[in-house]
Order: sequence, then C-alpha cells, then structure tokens
Amino acid sequence: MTVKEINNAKSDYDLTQASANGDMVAFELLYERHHRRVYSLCLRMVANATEAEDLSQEVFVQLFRKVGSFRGESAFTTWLHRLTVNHVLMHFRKKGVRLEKTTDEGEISEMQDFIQAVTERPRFIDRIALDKAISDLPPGYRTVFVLHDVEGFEHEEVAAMLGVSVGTSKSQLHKARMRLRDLINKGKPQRGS
Amino acid sequence: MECRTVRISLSDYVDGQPSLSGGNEMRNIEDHLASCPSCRSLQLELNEIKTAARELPLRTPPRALWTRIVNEIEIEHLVVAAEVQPVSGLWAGLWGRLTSFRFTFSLPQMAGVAALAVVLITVTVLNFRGQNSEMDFTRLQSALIREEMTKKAEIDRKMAAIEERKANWDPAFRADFERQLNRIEESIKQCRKNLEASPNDLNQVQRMLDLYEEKRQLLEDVERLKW
Repeated sequence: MTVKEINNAKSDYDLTQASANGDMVAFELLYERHHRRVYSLCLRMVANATEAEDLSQEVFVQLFRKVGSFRGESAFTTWLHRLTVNHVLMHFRKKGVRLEKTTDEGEISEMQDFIQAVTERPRFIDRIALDKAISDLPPGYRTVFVLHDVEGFEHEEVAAMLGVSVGTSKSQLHKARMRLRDLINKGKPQRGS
Repeated sequence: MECRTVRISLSDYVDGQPSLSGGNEMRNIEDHLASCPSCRSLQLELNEIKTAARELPLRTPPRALWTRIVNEIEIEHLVVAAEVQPVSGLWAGLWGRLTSFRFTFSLPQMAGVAALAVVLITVTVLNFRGQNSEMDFTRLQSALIREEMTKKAEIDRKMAAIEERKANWDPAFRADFERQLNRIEESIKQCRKNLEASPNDLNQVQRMLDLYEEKRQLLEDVERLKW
C-alpha cells in the first residue's frame, strides 16, 4: 500500500487518534490534507505571508497538542477551522488589532458612495484582484468578510466569534463588500487609457 | 424607495436574509432594482464579489513550514522530557559536550566539579564497603544456617549419649555441666532475639556461631570423660 493509498484509506478521525498517540506519520498526513486550507485562512485574515506562516505553524503545533481532544462529533475540517480562526483572533487581540475598527480612512458617506457608483458593472472579477483587494481591507472589514463570504460562517457564528452583535456583523460585511467593489474598480484599467 | 435605502439593504438582499424574505421590503427592493440601473449594477457587483469569494483558490505555504512544525514539536517534547527527567537532561547535555569537546569551566565551576568528585569517590567507597558488609552478612547468615544444620545432628547425638550417662555422674559435676549448658543455650536464645530485632547485626551473627562452637566443644569435652 502506497502512502497515497494509506492517505486516502484513513479517515481524518483515524489520523487524529494515531496522532494523539504520537504517530508523526499520521500527523503528517493530516497536515498534507489540511495545511493549504489553514494557511489560506490565516493569509486572508492577516494579509501578510510571514505572519500567516507563523500562525499556520502555531496552529499545527497547537493541533498536535490538542488532537486527542477531537472526539469526532463534528467534521474534522470544521473543528480545525474553528481552531484556526480562534488562534488568529487571539493573535489579533495580542497585537491589539481593533476588530471593531471599520475603516482606516474614515467612512465614505452613503451619498458619496452613491455618486461614485459605476454605471458599467464588471462582467468578471479577477480572483487575483479580489485576493489583493481583500488584503487591502481594514482588519475589521477583512475579518468579517473572510469569515462570512470566504469561509462560509453564518452571521450568528461570526458575531459569537468576534464578540459583537449580529447586526454589527451584517453591517461590517456590507461595508466590506462596498469597499471591495471600490478597490476592485480602482484597480481596473481606465477606459481609453 | 430611495436609492440610499436600497443600498443599505443590498447585502442582506444578496444573502437572501430572512428579514427581507417576507413583507413588502423585498418587493420594494426588487421594484427599485428593476427601475434603477445604478442600484441594479451595484447588486450584480455584490453578487459577483460574493460568488468569487467562495471560489478563491487555496494558497500553498512554503515547503519548509512542515519542517518548522516538526522542529517546534520536537523542541516541546525535549523541554517536557527535561522537566520530567532533569537528571537525564543533564546527562544528555554532558554527553553532548563530551562528544563535541565543548567545555568551558570557570574557577567556581571547577571547584564545584572537584567537590562533586570528592563526594562521588566517598559515596563509592562507602557504597563498596556497604556492599562488602552485605556480602559478609549474607556469608555469615549462610554459615549460621550451615553451622546449625551440620552441628545439630552431632549435638543431638552427643546430648543423647550424655543423657544416658548423666545419671551416673557426680551430682556436683552434673549440676556444673547443666549450668554451663543452660548458660550457652540462654545465650543462644538471647542471640536469636537480638537477630530477629536486628537481622543485619553482624556481631550477633558471629556471636551465635561462637556459641554453637562453645556448645559443641562442651559436649565433646564431656563425651571424652570415661565415666
């Protein structure tokens, strides 16, 4: 049986149990399965590759310590996802990042936003451009957008994780999307140029 | 419905939030979007952003990340092992230094090493002496058992022969013999008691062996008498 076949044959739960007993091969298989997801989440939340690597490392070290406490009651991906989000949020708190901060440049008034509205909508959003625009969002907007739109958490879950109301989560998401639209449109080549 | 009001609710509308799913608000927004190209464009853009966000590709970290994780876990294990077994950690460190010849001693450290060496030598000598004592004790205990077993038959046989002849002895001599025998046997009893209280008392073991010999000698002397 090849490593690939073993990887495919074993469930995440089997691998967590083996890892809990110190089996580093099993833990490496878990890493192989989930490291990109963990790293991507970290990267999109902190918008810094070095920080994302450090955080991913900490998440997996923490996972190795805690893996024995995974009982298989939920999907491992959900469990690891929560572990990662909580770790990044803890990192924000340690750094003193104010998640309630909604903008780094002051609010754009709704009227101003209305005036800036483009008349010709983009037919296609370049995913690279979106990734870049997400990294340019203020931390508060970025966190809510990544958790809700990228990672698929519900507003109730986002609100609970961030310690804010559901209304605040919705409001932040709306502002994040509006800001993203601006950033993407600003990054597009002007007509006639 | 004004553009401003619609725009505030557009994210909820895009997400199909329950608060907008019923009543007139949903219908009012749809009516507005149908008649307002600007708000309609914004709504489509928000939809695109939402859809694109779900389709963002996963990013791959540098390959060295796994090595960093393994190193970190190993370091943690070493720290835990050192906390649980500080002596092993110390010896591991000393062994590492020995094998790599990395020694830098200050004067106080050298004095400390010298003191440690003296203590180690003393403990080793004492321990060796202790081991010798233990060996002596074991040897004497074995000797005691052998002495009892080998002498018992001889003593019993001598005693049986003496008992038959005792009736013909001079009463004063007989009384003297019995007094000496009783003294030896009382001493043996006392010696046994002492050994039960202090099994490692080598003096008592030696005393016991001497008393057996004394008893055997007494019987042998009496046996030589022709009467």
